[in-house]
Amino acid sequence: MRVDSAVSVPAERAGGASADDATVIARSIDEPEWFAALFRRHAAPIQRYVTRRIGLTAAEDVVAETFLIAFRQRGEYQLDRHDALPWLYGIATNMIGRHRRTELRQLRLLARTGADPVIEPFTERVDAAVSADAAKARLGAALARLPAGHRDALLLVAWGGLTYEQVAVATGAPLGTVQSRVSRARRKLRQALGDLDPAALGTGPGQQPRKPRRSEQARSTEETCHE
Amino acid sequence: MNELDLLSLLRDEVPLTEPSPAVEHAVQTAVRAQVPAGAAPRRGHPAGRPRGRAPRLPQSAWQRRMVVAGLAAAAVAGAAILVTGLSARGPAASRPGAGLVTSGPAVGAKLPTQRGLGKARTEAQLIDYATRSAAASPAFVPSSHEWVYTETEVASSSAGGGGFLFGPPNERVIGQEWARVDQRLYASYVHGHLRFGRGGGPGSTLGGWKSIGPSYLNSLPTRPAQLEAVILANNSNPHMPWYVGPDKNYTIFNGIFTLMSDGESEGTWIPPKLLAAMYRILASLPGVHFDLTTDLAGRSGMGFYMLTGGWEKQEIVIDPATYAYMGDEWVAVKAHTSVATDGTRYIKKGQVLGWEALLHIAVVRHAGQI
Repeated sequence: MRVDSAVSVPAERAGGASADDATVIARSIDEPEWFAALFRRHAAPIQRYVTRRIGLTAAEDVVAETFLIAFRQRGEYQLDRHDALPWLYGIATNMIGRHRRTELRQLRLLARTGADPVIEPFTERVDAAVSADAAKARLGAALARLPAGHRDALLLVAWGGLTYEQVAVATGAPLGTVQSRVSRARRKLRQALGDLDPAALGTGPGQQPRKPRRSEQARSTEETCHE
Repeated sequence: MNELDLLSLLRDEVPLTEPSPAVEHAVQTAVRAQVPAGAAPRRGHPAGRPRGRAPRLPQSAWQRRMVVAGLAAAAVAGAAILVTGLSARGPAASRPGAGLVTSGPAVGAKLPTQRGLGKARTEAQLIDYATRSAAASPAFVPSSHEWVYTETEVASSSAGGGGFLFGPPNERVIGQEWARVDQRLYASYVHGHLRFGRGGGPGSTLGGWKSIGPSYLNSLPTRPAQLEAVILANNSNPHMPWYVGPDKNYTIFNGIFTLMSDGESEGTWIPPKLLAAMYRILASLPGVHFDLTTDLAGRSGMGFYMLTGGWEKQEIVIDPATYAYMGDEWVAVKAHTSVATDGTRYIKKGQVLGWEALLHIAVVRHAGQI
């Protein structure tokens, strides 16, 4: 992050070991310039998570709004939580809720075509290989089908890298609810991927995505049922 | 490679980069605006302390206050309890009791009255009692700012899970949550404090259900054939993510299962007349079977189930006394070898793959009420 001459960055000036997030937030209450350290630490992963969910164009506004809200609400932050990333992910996830149609539209496009509109800005060649597109199409379909709360919990784990406890912090839901939601969501994803031939992963563009089937009858010649 | 690994591939295709200068500038501007005045936002206070500007404490005193606050929070039961060491089938050994902290009056639940006709003992009685009871009960539509309280019990396994339980269901997780009827907010207790989260709003959908709001659900037809037509119309487009295949019977069953299991467990209020209509559908739907069963909480229930793939039993469990949804269960009725993207798993006959119980549901005026 560039250092603006009017807003110095105390953590950098202080040198030595960096203060934890709770300390940074606590100090930012009376010395707002401390908040810049929080942005510097966590903006990149928040940006990637938001971009992955709703695309680059909409992500910029959401990331900015996330940190602005965090800044306004820093006085309410629970200072016994040394890592502010779950809190920031929670704010970002709430903001993503306002772009739910955008998210669903992209997931449905992925489901129908296997082409991922989110990564287009990062793909230089038109014919760039898209790894595992058959599985991605099914994932897109399964993700779009999930209730919003299940999708949020699952993607905070998978794309935010949070533990279940951290997801509980981020969403305000009880730990048990988080576990239940992630379990349900994973079950549906497994069902969607169930009969996908593992060898089909990484087949590249042009592979027609197979429609998700509930039955696992055709999964493999090794399928056997016993009495 | 399991489904989480595949999701990680999607994430990794988005580079990890710093936000654009415009984002950085917006945050800097907000920070800069407060630098000259340095106005301290109001901090939350533990109960009993007067509100106002937080005193600027010496660091050591501030740290001591955090320790005290942490101990106080730990003394209050959290909203989720993990109970371990249970037998594979049976009710939880303990549950959160009346010690749960509430922010509103201790008793405030508004339970829509439904005229009970007695405990059903057969499938036919269940259908008959549920239908007549719903018809005789006063019409009820919760208002948009009321809350649906749900208490659920979910089985997990010490052997782990990933889409289904990998071992016996020897652990339980109990959750309590409030969902506002307009789907804009939800709330739960975390370490004794009521925390709110944002929901999907009035436009929330669920699978092939166009809306889960009470007005829409109350508007649905209650004649089985008409209701089936609605479910099929909303779920038969192969290009939609919730399409489960060409089997119409399973499409209807799964649609009903989704609304009850995912919907009601998440705070969707299903009108009794709609429930009764869905039971009538299930009672006559080809491929759906009826049995008497015991749910995760040890309660006697009546189940409607379908077998999928010839080996997996997917079951909806109904309370024969209240005619309400009370849970669901997934069980392997045959041994099954499953070859998936993360390897091969051997599922035993009788293995419980998923098990949940809805312990309580009520409409309340405020989040935090039971």
